[in-house]
Amino acid sequence: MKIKAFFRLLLCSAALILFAACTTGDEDEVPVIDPVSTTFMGDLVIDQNDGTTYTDKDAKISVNYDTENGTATMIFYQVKFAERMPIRLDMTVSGVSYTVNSSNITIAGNNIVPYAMGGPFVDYTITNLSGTVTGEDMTFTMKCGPYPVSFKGKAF
Amino acid sequence: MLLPIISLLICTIFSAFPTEGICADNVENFNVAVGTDYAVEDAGEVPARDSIEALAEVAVVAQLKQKNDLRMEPLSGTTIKLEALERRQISSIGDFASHTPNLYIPDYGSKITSSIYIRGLGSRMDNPAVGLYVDRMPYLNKNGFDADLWDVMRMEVLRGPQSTLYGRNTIGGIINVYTLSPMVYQGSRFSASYGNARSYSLKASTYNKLGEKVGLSIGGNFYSTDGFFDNEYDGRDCDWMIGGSGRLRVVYKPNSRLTVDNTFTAGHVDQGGYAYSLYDPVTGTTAPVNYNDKSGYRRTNLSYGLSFDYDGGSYLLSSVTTWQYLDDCMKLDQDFTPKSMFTLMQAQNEHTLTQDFVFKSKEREGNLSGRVWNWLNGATFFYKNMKMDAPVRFKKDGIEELILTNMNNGIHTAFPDADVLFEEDEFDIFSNFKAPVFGAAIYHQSEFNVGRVTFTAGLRIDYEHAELDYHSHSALHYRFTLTMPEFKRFVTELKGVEKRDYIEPLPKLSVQYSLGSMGNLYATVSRGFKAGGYNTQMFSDILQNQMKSDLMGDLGVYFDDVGTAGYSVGEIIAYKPEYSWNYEVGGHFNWLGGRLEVDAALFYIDCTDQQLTVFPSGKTTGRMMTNAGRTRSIGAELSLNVNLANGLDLALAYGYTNAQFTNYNNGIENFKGKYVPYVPQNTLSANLQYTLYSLGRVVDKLSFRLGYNGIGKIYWNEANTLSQNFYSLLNGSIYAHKGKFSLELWGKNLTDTDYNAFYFVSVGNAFFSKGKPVQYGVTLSMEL
Repeated sequence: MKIKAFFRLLLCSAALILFAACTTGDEDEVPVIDPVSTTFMGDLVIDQNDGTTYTDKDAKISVNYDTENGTATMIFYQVKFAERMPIRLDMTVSGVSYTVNSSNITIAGNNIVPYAMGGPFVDYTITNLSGTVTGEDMTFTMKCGPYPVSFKGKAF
Repeated sequence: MLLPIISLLICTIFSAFPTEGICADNVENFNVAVGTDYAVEDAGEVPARDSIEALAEVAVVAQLKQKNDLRMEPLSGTTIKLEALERRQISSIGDFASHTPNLYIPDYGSKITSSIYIRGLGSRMDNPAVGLYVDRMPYLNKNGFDADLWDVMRMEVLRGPQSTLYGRNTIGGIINVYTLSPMVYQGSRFSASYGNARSYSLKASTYNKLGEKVGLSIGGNFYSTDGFFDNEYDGRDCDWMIGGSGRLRVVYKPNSRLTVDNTFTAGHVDQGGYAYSLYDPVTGTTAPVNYNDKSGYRRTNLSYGLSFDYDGGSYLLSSVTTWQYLDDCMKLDQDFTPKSMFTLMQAQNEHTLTQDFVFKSKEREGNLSGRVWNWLNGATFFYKNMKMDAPVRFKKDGIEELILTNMNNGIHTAFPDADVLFEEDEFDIFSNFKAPVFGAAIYHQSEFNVGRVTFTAGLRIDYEHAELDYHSHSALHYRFTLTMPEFKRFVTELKGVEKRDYIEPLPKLSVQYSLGSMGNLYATVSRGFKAGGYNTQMFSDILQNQMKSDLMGDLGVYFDDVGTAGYSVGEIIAYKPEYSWNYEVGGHFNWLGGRLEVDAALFYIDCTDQQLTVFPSGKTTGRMMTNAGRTRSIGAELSLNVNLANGLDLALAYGYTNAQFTNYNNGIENFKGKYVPYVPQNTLSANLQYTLYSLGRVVDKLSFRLGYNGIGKIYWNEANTLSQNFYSLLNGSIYAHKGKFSLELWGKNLTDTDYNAFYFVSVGNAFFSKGKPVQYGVTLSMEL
């Protein structure tokens, strides 16, 4: 008898614990992507505005988050924007706003003057920047000067 | 003043050595001089004390490792003694070379550029192909080779690798210089010479014995010339020169066994030089010398040698210790055009310490001496520490043409209206080097006499450690007009240490057959070794590339073909040692009762990793040593000395060299079958001298000399597209001697032959250095 009573008590305790766990989970355990600086590698596709596109394969872009002022800096490493372009450039896009969501981070920006070749690169001002970052993937679109640009890459 | 005192002190200390030995009688009967003292063969036949030529002719120099008479050795050599040296105006190893077969030392640039070519081997940079010994002291740095040589009793060259006995950098042979010794000659000599181009020289020397045991000599020379070429840019003399040297020698012979020799020499030269003319490949003509930045060379060198020679009766023990100091500075308008492109300064400071011990059996003269085995053992050590500052200054035109144009051409393809600009009109690329080198070796040579046949075998184990500690850096301000409103400071730097070690076995084998008084025949196989090193002259190019790469990196701009990333600086600047196998047969012949001496030799040299000075393609500013895959050299030498009639003597020397690449591809072109550049295919020298004696009261001696030199053909580049054809130079002198005085009229290149002595490329332009035009003068000498 004592043993049966002990098992009943044990089952009741377990049921109570499970119930309590279900009620608190609904309030606190929303999945969140941490804004951790990450470098992505993928295809950077540039619309040449002549009906063709140029793809810079294996382009490297890092996103570095400044959690204090809530902006991110995107650094494009040795990227090329056109086939005929004889050089590759490092380009820095600062002041990108970001929002941490439950399953991703969204990035956005408009009228940002990128920094390249030792100074501000006004002719290639970034507009309509919009994209998402998950743990492993980043996609975004933007206009770099007059050229529409899209990127899809994986964490490097 | 300190060194003479030290020398005398050392002599005094060594006077404590025993004065008599158990084999003193043998020493008395032995003809080869012990130490750097000189003995005189059959002194009773020497005409008089004031006949210095006669003394020098019969004097026996104290060879450390060779026989006194090179013609008794299984090698091809040339010996010229005092009288011929002075009559032929030989006062440098370059002058000497023009009287010896297959040895070519072109006269160009300045006294730093002592390029030596012998039997198809040689290069104009870094380590020489031939070793130089003055009074048994080795000169390790080629920068000091072109020294003032006066009161020289004997000069000789031993062709073919002498690496078994002499080690590194004797792959082509060695040159020995023996100056007058106060133990042989006592008296004073004065001379004054004046020639065209306001060239003059003064010499004074005195040789004395202080008692029977000490000999003391002191002397010096001074010279000056306006030079033979003008720089059209400013109308000034281009190759002017002023310099002088001094020599103090104390020889102490406390007894018949021991000789202590101290020699201290000092020299200084300050000169213009570098009479380089731009070559137009379209017209095939050279323009006059015309460049804007001052070029010149200054050198101060000191050397001290201390040798001990001990005669142990059946053996000889020698020690030669030397210290050398060289401080020089070369300044160049490196583009050699009127443009302000870039200049180079190369200031070196070097200390060298060498030590050689030789322990050998005594009787090594002749292969019919009855001795079965003659042997020689040696151990040597050297340490050389060179420090160099070599800043390259880029000037306005150079910045524009060599750096910015190249850089902006790339940028313009993406941004046509944007430029990189430098704030400075001039900037320096500083390069500092420390290059300590040390080495050690042990060697042995045995000589077996079996009747008329002598077998010689030798082996040396040579170890060498070479380092280069480099630091190259530059700072400037730049601006990219598209994005940068202001100039930004930019620094680029390259530093590191490179090290190399070499262990080389250097064998030698020869067989000689004696023809008695008729001479001998020989065959020799020997291995030669020339040390590897580092291309310090490439650093301005390396740092230029590094600077372009770093600057583009600073801008965040990348070209695919710029920068040093991806390769090792060490691999670019280091070059490997050069090795050769020399196969030689020859003979020394005496005919007509000794009136005709003929020396002949045939050689074949198989050389791997031959060191070549090349000019990198494009608008590069430096030059570099590289290793050619393989070369082979076939040639012959013929020397003839004949007394044609009473007082009429002819000396003839001819050398032929056919040196070709058997495997050399520089990545752009295959040079197999092409001739090795800078090597003359033919060298010909002839000297006819007629001497009259006792011409009444007017003169005691009158001699006429006619000299001829022919050199060529010489290819100037690996592709063999440029060459200097065979050319001829006529020389001559008239010499009159009366009592204590002598007067000589002399001339060189009397036909004023126009020829090129040197070729090089800088910033994509080709340049030639012309040979000196006609030279003539008069020399008044006095001997007391």
